[in-house]
Amino acid sequence: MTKRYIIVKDFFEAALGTWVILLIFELARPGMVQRFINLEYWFYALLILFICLFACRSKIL
Amino acid sequence: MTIKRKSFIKVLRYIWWLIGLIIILFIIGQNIITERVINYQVDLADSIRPDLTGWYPESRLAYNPSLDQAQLLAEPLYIQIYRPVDFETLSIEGSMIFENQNIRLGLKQNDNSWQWQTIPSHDFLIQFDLTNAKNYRNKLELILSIPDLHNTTSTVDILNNWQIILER
Repeated sequence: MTKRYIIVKDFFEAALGTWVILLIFELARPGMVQRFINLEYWFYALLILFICLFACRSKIL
Repeated sequence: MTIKRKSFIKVLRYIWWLIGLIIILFIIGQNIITERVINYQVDLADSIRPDLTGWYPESRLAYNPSLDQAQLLAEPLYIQIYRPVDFETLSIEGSMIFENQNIRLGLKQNDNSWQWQTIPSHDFLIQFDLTNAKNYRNKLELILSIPDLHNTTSTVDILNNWQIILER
């Protein structure tokens, strides 16, 4: 595993974990998170990050 | 991989999780409400804020920054108010410039009807009971209706001093 791959993977895991916790908050009390952070955009960023992770793993990047 | 490189990756990992934790703590901190009264200030120049959305549609208002008031071009207008916890009353205080139009404020109820109150004078304070108010996604909805606005040539203006007070 390359250094770049490990860094992106760690960042992805932290972002995904935080997003899941915030999503639980939002589902428990609508508006609690969405007033400050757009969870939909966060989800799209996670998707892009996942593609980057895949690219790093395949040594495309 | 060298030890130095491994520790660098480890430090970065802690930083990512620390950022996540800070975001979560910020959200929790913003949602802890201990006050008995919450006061929101309506800003006609900024209709989308975390706690207030409105007045909208924006095309029905013409905001004049030099006078700090907005001219009503059409009706009705809506505003959504975030209700973080259960409150008993909603008070609205503000000023309007109008002639003899019948101006009403309504609060959306559980059965999708409106609880109407007439704005009596240029400077007013109106109170709504929130017992049967609709609480969709923790938001209350208000409507500002002027049925005879299109029948008259006179204008109606909203001053930028409206306050929305939630009490429990």
